[in-house]
Amino acid sequence: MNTNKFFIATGLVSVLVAAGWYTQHTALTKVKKTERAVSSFETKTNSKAVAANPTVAAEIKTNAESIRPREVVELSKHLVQIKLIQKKVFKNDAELNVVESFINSRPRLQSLAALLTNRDVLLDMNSADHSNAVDVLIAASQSGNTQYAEELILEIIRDGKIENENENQTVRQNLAGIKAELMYHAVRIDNRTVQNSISGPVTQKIWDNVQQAQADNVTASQLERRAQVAQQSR
Amino acid sequence: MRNTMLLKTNLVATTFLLLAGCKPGAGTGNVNSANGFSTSGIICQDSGMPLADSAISGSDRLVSGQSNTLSLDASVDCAEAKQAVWSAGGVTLGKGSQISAKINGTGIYLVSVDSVANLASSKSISSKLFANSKVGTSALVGVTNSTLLIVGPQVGTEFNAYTFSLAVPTRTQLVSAEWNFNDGSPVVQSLTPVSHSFRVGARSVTVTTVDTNNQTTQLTHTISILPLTSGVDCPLENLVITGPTVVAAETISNFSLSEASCLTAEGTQITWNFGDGTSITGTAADSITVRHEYSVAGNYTLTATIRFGSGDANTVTLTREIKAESFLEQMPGPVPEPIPSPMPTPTPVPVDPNVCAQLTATRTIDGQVRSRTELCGLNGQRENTYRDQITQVCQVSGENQIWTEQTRTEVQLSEGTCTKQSCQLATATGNQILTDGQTVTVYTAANPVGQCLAVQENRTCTNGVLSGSLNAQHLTCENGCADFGPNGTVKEGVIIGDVSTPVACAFGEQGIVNVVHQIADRTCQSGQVITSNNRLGEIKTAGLCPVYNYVQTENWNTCSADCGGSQNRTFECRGNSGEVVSADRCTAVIPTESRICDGNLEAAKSSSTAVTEEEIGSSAVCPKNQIGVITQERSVTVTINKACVNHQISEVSRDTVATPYVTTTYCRDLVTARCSHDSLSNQGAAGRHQWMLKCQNEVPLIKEFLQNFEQTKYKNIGLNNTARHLYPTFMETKNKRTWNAPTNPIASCAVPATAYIAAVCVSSCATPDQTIIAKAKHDPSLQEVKFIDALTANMAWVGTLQSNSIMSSKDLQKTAVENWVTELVDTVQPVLTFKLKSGGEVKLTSNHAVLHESGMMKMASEFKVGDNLLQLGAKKDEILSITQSNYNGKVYNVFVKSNDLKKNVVVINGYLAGTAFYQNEGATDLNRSLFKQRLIKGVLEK
Repeated sequence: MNTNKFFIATGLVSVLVAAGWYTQHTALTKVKKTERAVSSFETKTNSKAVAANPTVAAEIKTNAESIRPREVVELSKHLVQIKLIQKKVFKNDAELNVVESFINSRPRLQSLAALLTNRDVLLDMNSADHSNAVDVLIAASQSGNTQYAEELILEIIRDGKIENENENQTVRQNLAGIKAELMYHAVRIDNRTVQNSISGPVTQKIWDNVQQAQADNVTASQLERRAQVAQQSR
Repeated sequence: MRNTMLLKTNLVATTFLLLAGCKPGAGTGNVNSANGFSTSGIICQDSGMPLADSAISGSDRLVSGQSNTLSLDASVDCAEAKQAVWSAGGVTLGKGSQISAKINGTGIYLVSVDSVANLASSKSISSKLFANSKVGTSALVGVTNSTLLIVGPQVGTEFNAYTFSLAVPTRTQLVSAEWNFNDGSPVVQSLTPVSHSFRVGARSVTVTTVDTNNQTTQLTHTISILPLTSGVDCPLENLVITGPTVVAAETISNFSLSEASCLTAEGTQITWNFGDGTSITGTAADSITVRHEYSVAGNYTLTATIRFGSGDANTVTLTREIKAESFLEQMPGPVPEPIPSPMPTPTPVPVDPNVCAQLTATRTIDGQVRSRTELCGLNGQRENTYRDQITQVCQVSGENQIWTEQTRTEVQLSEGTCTKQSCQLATATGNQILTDGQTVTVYTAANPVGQCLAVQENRTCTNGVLSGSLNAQHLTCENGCADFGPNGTVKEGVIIGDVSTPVACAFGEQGIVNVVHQIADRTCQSGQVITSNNRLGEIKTAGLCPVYNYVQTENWNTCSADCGGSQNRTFECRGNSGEVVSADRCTAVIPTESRICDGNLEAAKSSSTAVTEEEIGSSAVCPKNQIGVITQERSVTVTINKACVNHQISEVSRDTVATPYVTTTYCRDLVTARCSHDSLSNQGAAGRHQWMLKCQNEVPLIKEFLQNFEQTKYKNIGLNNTARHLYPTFMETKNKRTWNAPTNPIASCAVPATAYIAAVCVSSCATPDQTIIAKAKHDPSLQEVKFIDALTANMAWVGTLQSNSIMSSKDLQKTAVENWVTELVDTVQPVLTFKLKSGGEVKLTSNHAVLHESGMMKMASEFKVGDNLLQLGAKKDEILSITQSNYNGKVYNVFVKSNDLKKNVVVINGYLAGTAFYQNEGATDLNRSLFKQRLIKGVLEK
């Protein structure tokens, strides 16, 4: 990482910390707003907002703000490694151990969440790193430290930087993508919980799109099922 | 003719000569024995009965070879009795009224008794006169020591009865004698002499005797009966051939005719035929007695033909059967009386016998007695005694008157017995003379039915007397052949057997024969039936060539089907005797008879197993971020057992076995699902790209896509890459379905309004026509099939690794196929040919995903020589060479309904390789970006 990037990263950390706070704050605000039934998506879900895990939120916030560029680079290497391992058809025990230890490691997962929410990283991060981080986090939510991973995902969804129109568009764009993929793939988290984690209208829109995409998938699955039944009947 | 009845001739024949009781004469009772003959004395009566009237006693009891007493009647005149001389066959037996006579052998003799005085006085008279002044008596006697003889006259005159008797050997004792006179008169049973009168002609008497040994003998005696007025003066009743009937061969025998004096006086001519081919003819003077020698033993017929006068009118033939035997102990015939020693006489006073007293006186003196052998009978001879009777006249001779011989006449003093007479045997071929004693075997039939021995008899000539039967006239005899017939019997065409001759039948059948009579000519030759001229006669049993017809059998030909077939009855071509022959012998059309049949019920049984994969919906569904279905699947194996029932294959049972339901998840992410739904080959992707370029100005969506991805390059993947094309796949928001954009560049640019790009896909790189492990819906299990076959059959499953497989796992699972991919037309593809150490080979496009030994899926082009390909079970196979070449044809690939990495590992040509899933890996990031953009599109906008 060059000097510029280092500074950028440092800045990003600050931004991310700020954004994290903002996000958290926004989220809380959102909750409050929700509770006040002012948000459009509140009416859609008509559910009670789930309170965020303050510990997790604090950890993410802390990490996101404190993550250093070197750590990002190392994390990126790890993610690439895990990604390669995951692409392998056959994984040896060491490789499995690498993955398992990562997705079950609370600090590792915490760093992922920090990576995905750090403003500087969002601003300058390789999309592949983001994708890898999302994939690992999703993987962790499915077979690793799932509960913590889900809490982290929800915290990322709660990140409010995306709601801030003054925020850097790249940051918002990347975070929107991250939120979209997390919401799309974190199907183990029930919709109400996700809905209660919505940080604001932008996230709501994303969530709406995600739900639409999922609904399309369900429809496609149903069509496939019907086609299969029809084929069997032939 | 003289009245023969006056002769008191006794014709007696018996083995005994009964000694008549020497009774003194009724008048004087004077018995003299004055002479020295061996008489027992003179039994006579002075001035008694003339000798000619006296009967001879004892002649019926003559026993052959024994001295037997013969005597005159006791009342015979003594003067004559004293002068009586007994003779037989020319042999003097004795003198006196009673003698002891002995006759040897077998024969018939006339015993005559004459007075010496009469004999002397008769010298000077003619024989005829002598005959007419018969003073003696005679008796015909038969003696025998061997065979039965009939004793009787051989010549007679009508109206006179003649006596026949039997001479019987002493050792034979008759039980019965049956006399048949062969003239229709009753048969007479008598052992004593019988009498019978005959009519004129040649007659015969047959006697059949039975002795105590139950031996039957039949004898025949012939007699010629002359009219009373025959003009013959001799006493024919006594005219017989006398002499032996059994003679010794090679020995002279005498045969005589009785009544020699009369015959001589009659001037008869006599012809003797001895039956052995010799004959003698002469006058009675020299042929009364003949001597004949039979040179060969046998039976001969001796005949004496006596012709009275010069003509043939009065001719009598006498016949006697003679048997000539090789040896006889005694010469047959009468034994002469012993010559008595001369009685001493006183010495006479010497006187000159030649001095006579009275001139011219004559005197007759006897000259010397001399004997001369003369022929007699047939070849017989006799010793006659002659004396000259010299008539002298007293003449002066010198001083004396002496008796001077004037005439000399020879006077026969005695006639010897004609001996060694031959016999004339009348045979079928002519007369044959048998010498005295000769025996010839003759036969009553030359060709008897049976053996010659049965008709054979020996005829022996005994001094002119031929023994045996007149019927045996055949010198030769050929044995007959009993039932077949006599010798010479010829029977032509006699069936002597059967022979089989083959019949030529149409098909060369063997063993068909005609039974043909084998005939021959049979001839009886000397007792043997000679068979000759063997030949075939008529067919006895004609052999019939078989007639062939088709005969149904209980056999049927092979049923045309194991079940419900048809079959035809088998017909065999058979001959009428039942034998099976080849069909070409049956000319008729072979019958046909068909029936429905089941060829093999066991084979008709079948069991088919159908495996169906049943799927039911599961309550579980795919996660919302994936597309697909989760099903409960199981394999249902239905085994249908079929068998032949009522000639039809019918299902008889059905067994269904189902495996437990297994939950199968076919969930995959959006990109995998969409790309598999719109999978394109390079050619299709290129066509779509060209279509998009054409339509980009009309369709903003397309233009935006091209702008965003135009520069995208990843592992040789790009929008317009000849190797691997990126291409978009579309969906419609409205109906949530895939909209397959055209792949034809010239297709319409019309795009649904709600269409959006759902994913970016990579064109299918594929393997050439290699094998893959797959399974059709109804296949029972996974199997290695050609890619093209799998595609053509649209097989529902491919064999893939399992989600939990480790590298060494050998088990495959069936994973549902999403889509089989190929190209529409052949294209030229760069192909890598891997030659492997095991000898295996696999051809892959360069960008085909192949499992590396590291566990990573790599492009084929990333492999190098020395690397290993992996077979199922992680068995490494070293790459020996990699050759790149252009392949002109279609390539193939497959999408499965799974995102799972292992379930996207298939087995191609035995090596682990990736599905099309791995080929879209290069577009992952692109799709991710695309997908994120779609999810966040517009969300940041106010």
